[in-house]
Amino acid sequence: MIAFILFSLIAIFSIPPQFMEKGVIVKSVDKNSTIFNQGLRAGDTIISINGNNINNFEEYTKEINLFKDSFLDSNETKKLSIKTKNLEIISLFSKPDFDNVEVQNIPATRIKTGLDIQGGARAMVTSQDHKLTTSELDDLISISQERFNVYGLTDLVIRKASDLSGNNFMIVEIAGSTPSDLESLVSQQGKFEAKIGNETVFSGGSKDITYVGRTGQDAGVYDCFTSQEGEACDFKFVIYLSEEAATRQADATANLSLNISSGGKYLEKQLELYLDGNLFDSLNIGEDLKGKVATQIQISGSGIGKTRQEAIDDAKNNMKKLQTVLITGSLPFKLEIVKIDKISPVLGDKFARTIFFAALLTIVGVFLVIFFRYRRIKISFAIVGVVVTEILITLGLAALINWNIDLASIAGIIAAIGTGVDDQIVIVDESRRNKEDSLKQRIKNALFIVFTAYATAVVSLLPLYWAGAGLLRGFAFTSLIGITAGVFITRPAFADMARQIEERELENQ
Amino acid sequence: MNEKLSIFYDKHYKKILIIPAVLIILSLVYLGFFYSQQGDIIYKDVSLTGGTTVTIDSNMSISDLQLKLIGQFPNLALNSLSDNSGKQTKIILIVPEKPDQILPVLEGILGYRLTQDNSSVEFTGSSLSQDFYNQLVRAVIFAFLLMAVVVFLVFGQSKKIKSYCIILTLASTRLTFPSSRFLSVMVIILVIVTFFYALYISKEKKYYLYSLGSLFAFILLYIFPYYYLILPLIVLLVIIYTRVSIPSMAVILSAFADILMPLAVVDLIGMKVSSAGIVAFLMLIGYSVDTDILLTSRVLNRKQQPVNNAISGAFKTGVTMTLTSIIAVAVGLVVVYSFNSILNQIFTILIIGLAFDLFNTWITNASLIKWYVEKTGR
Repeated sequence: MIAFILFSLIAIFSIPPQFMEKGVIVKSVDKNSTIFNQGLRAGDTIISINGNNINNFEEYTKEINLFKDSFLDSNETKKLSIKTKNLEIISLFSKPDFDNVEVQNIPATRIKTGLDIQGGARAMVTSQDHKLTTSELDDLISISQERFNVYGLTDLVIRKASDLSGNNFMIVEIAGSTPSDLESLVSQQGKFEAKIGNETVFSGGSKDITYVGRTGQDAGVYDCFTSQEGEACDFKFVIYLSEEAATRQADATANLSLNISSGGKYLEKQLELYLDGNLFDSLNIGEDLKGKVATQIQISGSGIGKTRQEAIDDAKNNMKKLQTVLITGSLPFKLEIVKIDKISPVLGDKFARTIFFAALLTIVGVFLVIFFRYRRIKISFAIVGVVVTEILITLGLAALINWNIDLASIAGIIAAIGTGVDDQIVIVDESRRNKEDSLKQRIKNALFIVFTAYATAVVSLLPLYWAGAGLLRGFAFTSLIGITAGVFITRPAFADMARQIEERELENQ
Repeated sequence: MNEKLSIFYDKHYKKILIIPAVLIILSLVYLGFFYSQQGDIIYKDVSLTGGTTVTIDSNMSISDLQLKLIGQFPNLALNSLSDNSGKQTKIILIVPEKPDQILPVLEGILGYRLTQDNSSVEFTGSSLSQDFYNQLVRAVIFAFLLMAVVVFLVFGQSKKIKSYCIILTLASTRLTFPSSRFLSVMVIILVIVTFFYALYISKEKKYYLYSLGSLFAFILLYIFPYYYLILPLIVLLVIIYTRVSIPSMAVILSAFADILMPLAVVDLIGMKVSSAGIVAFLMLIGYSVDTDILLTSRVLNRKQQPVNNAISGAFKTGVTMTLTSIIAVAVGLVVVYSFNSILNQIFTILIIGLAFDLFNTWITNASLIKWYVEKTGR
């Protein structure tokens, strides 16, 4: 049991203990920013700026504001040095450069809290008119993921959910502050446009793009070769355009000349792909398309990697991204937000502290009742000790698998504690009566009761795993872990302890 | 148990059963009446009927706010939250309308924009919440059926009938939910295992036929779920449990009363149950059964002891168990009360349920098991 406690503590606090670390952790860096090019990435820990140590968010903000205030006009650049745990960046930055970087205090534990505690938004989306099939849902999720990325939202989780009536949903969860136009972002299909110069040549939707090849002959990685930096693979896939769209493209390319630097293979302008108004990618236009009304177009690109497999995977990934963007706006259903919650993050800290306080008081209360009943300090401490261990193990496991602790999970932990204390009381009582039976037999009787209770508890919790589109899954999860850890680890350990205490008392008699 | 109490109990234990009997009948009648008035067995809150909940930081008077909004939003409900010194800190608005209908009006009255920094908004669509409600209720029925069969397996005597009961129970649980791959696979595996077990232990021809028959019935029900069959199936299970194992039936009946009576109380006090509240009832199933299992196990395995001693010994243990749970939940409720989260309702329902559990385990279940012991001499 001690092993489990240590393991859980390590899982929760990580080694070296996170709450002792100084600095701020980078939440996100805009990919198109100077600072990204200098090597700063999400997940880095900033420990000093311009030689001054940064211990927390306030100090970081102070330093950055000092830096910003020192600018006389917004066009100049000034030197700044940033030290992270792994590297040092010394470069010239302009005033707005640090608006592209989001940081936060290093969290004290590895426990991730759910939205209802740390604040954030959750939206559940499904189709208005018919039940989403799994493949439609997959498409929707890929598209949404790309759109959110392009929008700049990276700290989010999109998952599938289905309830027991066979309905499928997409659930989007964003931690922290969310954009005020989240509803429109989520409930609309997104706008895709392909432009040459400033002219829109075709847009997303089945009117212009009638087909996007995704499998078989129409799409795939077809060629790989070794290059200087490693391996590279090419992919291609077909799309069909409507007559109108093809004509528009022919008109737009008719007067373009060839791009000399590419050896005349491509036209001077590129096909720019815009997702929700933001530039997503630019493709070279082959010279054979100049002025031609082509309803069947081949899109190609490549992927790279250190090994061939990496290159193939990268190529497949890039292909999927392009395919996703091209099917944007063409999903054959209207979306509906069936649930949306926007929770203010102010609740967070205070609530966590209150829960902790409640847990402490509860443990004291339980201790008092037990002590009042048994009048033995050792037993009272033993029971309370086992309860605390159970909580630690549950939290440790949750931290290990990055499970979000939300209010439902907390309710589950409480349920597990209640059952846990009950079981221990059974063991203590059973081992103290019936002195005719051997101690072993008595503990066996107790464990019989405990295991039966465990079985009934498990079966009564299982349906929650699926009911309600998994929103209450947190409760089922923490309860199940708590009572299972209880039955298989702490209960037998406690029985051992009870036995030792009893034997010692027998000797003392 | 001291002498006087023991003699009293011996004389009157059957008559004591009148109290729970009356309470159960009263609860059923009340719930029936409630159902005919409200169309359902509980008052549902906005998470189960659909609607918007807005929480804002404000100490504005809620009666003022009510006057200003009630015209446009006739089904408005307003609550206020205060901190420990009694000062109002937040206002909670609940309306069946969507956020884009209530928020602009509210912003107009308050005079500032409601953003994520100064407010929380939660919205559930009405068809989704109706779905949630249906599934949660079915989850409770499902859980109760499975719990009943586990209890029967542990305390029942006849192996053959236990196997048939498993298949029957799995058939009824299948009828509580229309579809789900994982569940279906699990259930099918369990049924096949049980079928072979039933075959294994009943080598007589007639039981062979029973096994085949029940397997066939299960497959039929699985492919063509006749949902109206669930009630007759449950009645059949009740009859089997009562005929084969009264102790099991006693536990199941107490557990049932432990859900029924708090439900009636919750309706009486007008509590609007949320999805978390239904989960609390689910938790109650697990909690309340613990003490019943303890009692039954102690009495049935008591060897030479007189029944009353076994009962009173179990009583000491069981009451400690329930009391620690009540204290834990009560403390939790007091501490998190001001946050007005789903935990409030969960804790409240648990306290009510645990209080009834004290009654149902030690009056209902105890008298029933004593009756059984006296009658059969087990």
